[in-house]
Amino acid sequence: MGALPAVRTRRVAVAALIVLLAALAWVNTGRTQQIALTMDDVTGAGFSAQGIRMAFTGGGATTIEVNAVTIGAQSWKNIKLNCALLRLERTRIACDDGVLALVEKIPLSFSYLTDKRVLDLALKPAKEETWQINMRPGKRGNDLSVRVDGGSLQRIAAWLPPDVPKISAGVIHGVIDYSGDGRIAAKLTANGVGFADATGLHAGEKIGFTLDAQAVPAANDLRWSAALAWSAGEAFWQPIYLKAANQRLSAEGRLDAKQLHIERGSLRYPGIGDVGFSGVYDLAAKKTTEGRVSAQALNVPALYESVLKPFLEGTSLSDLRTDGRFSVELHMGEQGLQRADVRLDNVSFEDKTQHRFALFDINGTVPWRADELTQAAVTVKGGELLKMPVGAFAIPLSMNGMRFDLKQLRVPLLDGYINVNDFVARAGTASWYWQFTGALAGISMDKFTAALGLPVMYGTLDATLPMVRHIKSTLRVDGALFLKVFDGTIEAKNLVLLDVFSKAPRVQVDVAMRNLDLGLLTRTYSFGNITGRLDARIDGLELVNWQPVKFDVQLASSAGDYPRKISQAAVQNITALGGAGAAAAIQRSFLRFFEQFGYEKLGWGCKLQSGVCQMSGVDVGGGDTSQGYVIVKGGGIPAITVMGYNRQVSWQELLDRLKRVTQGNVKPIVE
Amino acid sequence: MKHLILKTFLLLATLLGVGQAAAQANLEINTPGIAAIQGSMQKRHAELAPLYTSGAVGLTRDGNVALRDPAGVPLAQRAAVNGLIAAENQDRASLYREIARANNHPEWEGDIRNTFGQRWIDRAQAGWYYQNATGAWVRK
Amino acid sequence: MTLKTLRTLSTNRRLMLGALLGGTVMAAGCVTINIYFPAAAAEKAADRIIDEVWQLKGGASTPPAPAPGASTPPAPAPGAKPAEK
Repeated sequence: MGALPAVRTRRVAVAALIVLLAALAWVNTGRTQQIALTMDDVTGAGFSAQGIRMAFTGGGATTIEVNAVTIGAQSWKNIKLNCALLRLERTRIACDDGVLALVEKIPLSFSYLTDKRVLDLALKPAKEETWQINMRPGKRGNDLSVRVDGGSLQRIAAWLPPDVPKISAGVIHGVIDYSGDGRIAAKLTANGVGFADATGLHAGEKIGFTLDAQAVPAANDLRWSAALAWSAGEAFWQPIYLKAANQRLSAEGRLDAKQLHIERGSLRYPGIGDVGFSGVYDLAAKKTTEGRVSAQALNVPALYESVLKPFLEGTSLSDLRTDGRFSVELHMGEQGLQRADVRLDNVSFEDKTQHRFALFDINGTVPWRADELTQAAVTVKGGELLKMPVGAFAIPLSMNGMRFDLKQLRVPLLDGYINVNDFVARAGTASWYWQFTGALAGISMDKFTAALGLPVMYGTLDATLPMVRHIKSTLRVDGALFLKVFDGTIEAKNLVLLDVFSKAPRVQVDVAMRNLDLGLLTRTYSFGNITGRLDARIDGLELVNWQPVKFDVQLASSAGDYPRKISQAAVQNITALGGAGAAAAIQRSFLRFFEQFGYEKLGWGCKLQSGVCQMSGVDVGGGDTSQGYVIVKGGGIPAITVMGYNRQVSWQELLDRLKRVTQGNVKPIVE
Repeated sequence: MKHLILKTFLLLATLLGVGQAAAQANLEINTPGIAAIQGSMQKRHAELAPLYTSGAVGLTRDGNVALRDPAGVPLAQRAAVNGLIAAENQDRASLYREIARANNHPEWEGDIRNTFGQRWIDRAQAGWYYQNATGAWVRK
Repeated sequence: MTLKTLRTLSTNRRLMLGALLGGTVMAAGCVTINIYFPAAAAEKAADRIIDEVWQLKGGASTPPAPAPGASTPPAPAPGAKPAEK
């Protein structure tokens, strides 16, 4: 960016000089005072001036008019240079108080030493703004220096291509030197630079920087070097927001007609670290054909906060506490990224506010190649998953281009472990596809439930995940998911998770529970004690945001021979589910003298749809069910039968009652 | 003749449709999914409301929100505001989809979005900006 | 009450002839292939959600959205009661 004022000023100077020299040619021969001259058009490389007229009026006053001047893509019409007193001395031509009428009226002064051929030109477009141009014969051609004081950057805005953000403010100071042999050196300081594009996605305010750049022509190209230091202001380049922190960018290389070579580049970012880079940019194709980036031991928290976080906004990784160091080497070729070597040193991260996950002290190397099989060696010292402690584990990831394989991952969780087997991930056209088989084994239910804040259950948690596949934000479990709890089994089939990472994840599943120990179950939920075994079938269970919206559940006593007892408390609780009035009935009845009753079978069904549960009871084989349905069918002595009469209940109402019933102890599993 | 047949059909369809409409006088919006999205949007509204008032963010015709005047947002907050807009639009898309799904008519999603697009604008406070039929921003 | 789309009507003349003869049967068939979008109900639903999201009713002190199912018409209680045997 800093190179542009140099080029432009040089062109202005050249243009002015040509006009001036043309004038001088006439002045030298002209002896009379009232004279008007017309000149041929002047054209050159990237420059043309048409319709040049000169008029000498009395007392040395001179006017030069040009119909049109074109420099590069810019053109001006009807330019006028007025000089109140053009001094014509023996070896010097000077004008102390001229006015150049370009777009605006710019006060101008110049002096030209005819013998030494030295031109000094000063333009003062504004009060605090001076552009001084000095042109003198050098070893080869003319040397040119431009000194800018308080130069307005807005003047340059018109020169920039239309697709870059518009410069709205800014002042530059400095010197640009151009030698006749093609050397350019610029030392510029800019203050208060503002730019913005129409969308507001790329903008900067109050930016201050210094630029020190040199270019030296070689045989077929131009050798260049530049150093840029960003000292003030802020910039937003969607989605990254950066504040000046004395970031330093320096680079050197060469430029030929086809390519820009960066041979040694470095970015020093205080707080984050140093990044080295090099590369080749093809000017015609407008793309990087070769690139290397190398960074050692970058500070992860600073990198995460200022660079990574904006890209992760809206994902579960957008609010992390991070720690550690990160090193990376990237090689890019014509086909994009060819190799990436990443090293992690004690990198940790955790879900800062929600505490859903955390991994601590990740160490290792990841040597990725675009078309080669490589092996990552990464170890994790520990972590947390839903507040449950995770032990140390290793990630033996093998990589082959965009395919990643993990033969076996064994993550200790509580006193058991999570096993992930045959994990395969590959990049699809739009999203990632991945799959794995897995298992949970040997995890104590009491620790597990306590960690999740659920009512404490006993036993161990063993589950197998036959095949989990993720395609386009849908997670599908093939085969059956198998859990052992309450001395029975839970089998989940046809499990599908839709919109997994959205606000309202949707789960569809069919569940079958067999032989659950009702004693363990009722104790866990502090529902009155029931002895026996229970089967449950939940068909078409649909959860949205983890809450059921639809299902067809049928609970029933398991088949087989086992003790069947129901406590008075349980009977009361079941009746309480029917509303307050029903509970009172049992209080008054003689049944309160008995602690326990026998039953033959119990069962209850609920078909949930649109927030209403359509209830049914146990199949009693014939019998008159027109009045109600049987929830507990009595058997033995003393026996009790519990009937349900209303077949519809609001699901929410039922949950509220269940909560009240189990209150005073622990929360029920359903909320 | 053809026209008449069509009219007859329309009449019959309308008559039969009345019963249907009476049965579904209300759209189902009391589902956990909709409640979750609604809660999330309600929470976000506290942050969006001042942006509506300042005119930085406006309501689009298609039931979304958009950054109308970037200059009204300081650079340091611009990424956050863009994030807010993206999150809001994601929620709105989920909301329209969930309502359509909850009523067992996934194909209504577009109609629901259009209905909402109009109602958000109709119910907007004076001073807020919205897009008119030609896509131009108008201050209410 | 909006009749949003009325499809496949003009596509099959024979169908229409049949419809004229056996009006009711065809009309029933016609209804099933039509897609109604209940615009008025949708507006009502939109307004209810907008009220909640923008906190338009009851001022700023309105509690957060009611629990799901709260506005479902009160359903009768299960009314279970023990029966002596």
